[in-house]
Amino acid sequence: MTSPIVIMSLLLWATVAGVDLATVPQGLLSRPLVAATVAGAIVGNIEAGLLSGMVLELYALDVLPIGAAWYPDFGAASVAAAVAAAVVPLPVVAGVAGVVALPIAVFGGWTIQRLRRFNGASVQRRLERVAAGDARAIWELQRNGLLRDIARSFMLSVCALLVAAIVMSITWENVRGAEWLSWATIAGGLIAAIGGALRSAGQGARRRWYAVGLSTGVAVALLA
Amino acid sequence: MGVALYRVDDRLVHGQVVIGWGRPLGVRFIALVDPAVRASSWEQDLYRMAVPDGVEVFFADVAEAITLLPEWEADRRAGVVITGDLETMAALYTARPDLVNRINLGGIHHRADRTERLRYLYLAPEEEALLRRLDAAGAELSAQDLPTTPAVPLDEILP
Amino acid sequence: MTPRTAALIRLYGVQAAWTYERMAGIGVGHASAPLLRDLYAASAPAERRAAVARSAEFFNSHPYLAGIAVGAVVRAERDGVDPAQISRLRIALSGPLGAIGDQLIWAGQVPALMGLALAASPWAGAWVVGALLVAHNVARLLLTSWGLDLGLREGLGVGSALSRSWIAQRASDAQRVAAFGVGLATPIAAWQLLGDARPAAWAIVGAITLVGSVLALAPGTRSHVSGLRVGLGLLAVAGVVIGGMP
Repeated sequence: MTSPIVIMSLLLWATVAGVDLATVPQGLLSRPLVAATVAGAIVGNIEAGLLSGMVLELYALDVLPIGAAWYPDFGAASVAAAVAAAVVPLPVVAGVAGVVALPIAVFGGWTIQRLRRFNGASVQRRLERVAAGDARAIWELQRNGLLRDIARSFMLSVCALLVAAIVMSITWENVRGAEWLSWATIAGGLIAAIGGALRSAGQGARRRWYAVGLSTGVAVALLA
Repeated sequence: MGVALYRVDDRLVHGQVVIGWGRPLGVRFIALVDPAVRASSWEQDLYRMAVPDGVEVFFADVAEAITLLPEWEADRRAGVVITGDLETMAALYTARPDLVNRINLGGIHHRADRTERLRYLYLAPEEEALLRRLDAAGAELSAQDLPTTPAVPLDEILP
Repeated sequence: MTPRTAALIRLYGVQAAWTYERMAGIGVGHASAPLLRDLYAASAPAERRAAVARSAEFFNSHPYLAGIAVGAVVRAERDGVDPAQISRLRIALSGPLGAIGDQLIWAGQVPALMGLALAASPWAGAWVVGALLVAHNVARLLLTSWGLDLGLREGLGVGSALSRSWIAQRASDAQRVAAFGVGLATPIAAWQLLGDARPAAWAIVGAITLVGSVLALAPGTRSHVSGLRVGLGLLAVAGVVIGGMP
């Protein structure tokens, strides 16, 4: 991870993933499975990226960004998780991904709320022009919103990669019981996925489809 | 079963209602109490299109809703009653305080004369006064956009 | 570039200036601007400005379906509909487009694709990420483009056109696939992540998952038990366990 090109690539990718979530293009680049797998490829350990993305994706499945509800930002968090997980023993990958990503995702969600407050203040400053139908004022608000989110996402990415660097400095092979972190992260992810799916499924046909999927998944896991 | 939620939300039927609340509460009917929608057939088409399979939508103005409240409460299915503003919900409460006892403030958004109380709750002075009157009359009022977020009681919204 | 193409591109950034006051109103105004500029090219500037101002008022819906409102409002402007009725159209579209879009995309297509991708990843590896991105974004482009054209064609009649369209049935289908996909993915992900961990690990994770899932669904606790909160809490407990080890 020490190569400047790798660091720049990670910063760029984490920033793009963050902007994707709240601004443009909102095309699933910020999903943990996507963001972490690509980050794993950048640092040369796709397997760790995929595993980190998998455990964090379980948490993201619980999130429904409906209405104006608060939601976490898993973009930069997942990139940092994959980077840190790339250098740890396999049994600790999920734990390190959780330690790095979950707090950053929460912090990232808070930064989105702040971004929206700044956007609101920006609209207030141009209220008369917008009310008068000045298309240039509307364009300025869109441009500034995008630039603001790029800045937010870049700063979040820097913080996330610093956290990853700190976690990477730990010699995980010497940490007795480190696999407990993985068990905690996996259990939390499973609770998130199950709780989210059952809440979202409600009753009736969707719950039956969930039961069929769950049974099939158990059978596949047992036979594989 | 009957009415599981009395909600004030100026967006009326949207994702937070049909998915956020509708799924965990097992909602099978939504009663939309809004005179403008009651009078507009194309708006009613929109709301019918927007609700999931198996969920029935009723449209009513205030007088009709007051008459129908006991029927909705006696329904074997779980339901939600939604009004687009506080005044309409207050009218329902005033008419049937025995039925409309818990009121959920789910979304009242920005307007020039309103002050932000929560990110999804902006209140004008007369709306605050109305909430205090409802509170004094015994209504249980809290703000909560989704069932996965904690409810905020009125005394925290208007300290 | 045609005004329609410009509007379509701008719809990708419809939430760039999202605020708690106007929500996506500014983004909808920005996406409408090329169409309104074209529509009012030969009119007095004041008319165009009034239409632009109306287009940037409060609006919120699912971002992928905002094009339906953009198209319908522009068509209503073209048809000379009364401004008050156009504002009513925007407000009336807001909730239903949010409701149907959330069912179709956030509770349907996205968890369906993510669930199926998670379930396939042990065999397909990283390729599954490329496949899901292509599938989602092609579907999204087609949906946004269809929505904009529907609005431009129907104007005030967009409500009944939506009722007659495929969208409600597709939302229902997508949510069933999502339920199946997430159900399928959960045990496969557990198997992949726990790998050949010893039976005690499976027992601990299984017991915590069972208790946590009940708490996440129980009416009395669900507002306090989100996946993220549980995950952070469990990590804190794991930290204490590790710290207490000799």
